[in-house]
Amino acid sequence: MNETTFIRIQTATFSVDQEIRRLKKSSGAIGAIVTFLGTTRDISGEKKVSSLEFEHYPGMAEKKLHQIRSEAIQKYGVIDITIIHRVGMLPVGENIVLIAVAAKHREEAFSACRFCIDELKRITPIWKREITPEGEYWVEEHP
Amino acid sequence: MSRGLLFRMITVKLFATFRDKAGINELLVEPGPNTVTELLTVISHNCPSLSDMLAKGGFLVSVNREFVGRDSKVSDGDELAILPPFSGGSNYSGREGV
Repeated sequence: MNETTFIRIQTATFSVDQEIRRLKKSSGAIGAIVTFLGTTRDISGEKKVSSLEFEHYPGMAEKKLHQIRSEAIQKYGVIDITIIHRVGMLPVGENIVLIAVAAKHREEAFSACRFCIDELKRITPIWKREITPEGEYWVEEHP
Repeated sequence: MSRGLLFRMITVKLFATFRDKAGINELLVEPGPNTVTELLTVISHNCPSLSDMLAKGGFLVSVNREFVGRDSKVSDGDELAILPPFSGGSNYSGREGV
């Protein structure tokens, strides 16, 4: 089990159960796992969305995710973290991103999970194109 | 062009709106520009379809996969990328040189 297992950018889908099983093997001291799962929705503001396309900067996006993972482990003292982001064309209802944080107790797990998803959105070079009946466009502002 | 010269070119990577607008995902710039700002001027000149977007700002720049400010040095063989706002970003101002 190396760090690459826990940080992935991939086109294929992932199984949350499988990732949690993998994470649990990190340590017998784990008492809490907090997950964040981002999924594609069919509405953006007023517009109907049929699918989403994600693009990343290979090399830099992975580097930033590794950085976020290390920083969160150090800052919150959690045991281990998995971060997976999918790229490519994703229809509505698909899994996009998974953050799973394993810790001794829930408090630091919640904090670290929040930190990871906020940082991912802030500093990871990943872009999203919304495909709607009216056309396709890159999303540049998103709350 | 000799192999040696090619290896010293500065690679500029384009993503999302910038790539769509330029119709290419990468361009090579001959060594010469010393800073990010100087390189952006050269890109604007070589790729006129991007000049409006480059002038408008609202993007970050990375050199060798790390965020940098506009005054940063650029060297031969560097990889610069123009990074439009990320999908999750809600506020892109004040993020220069994150």
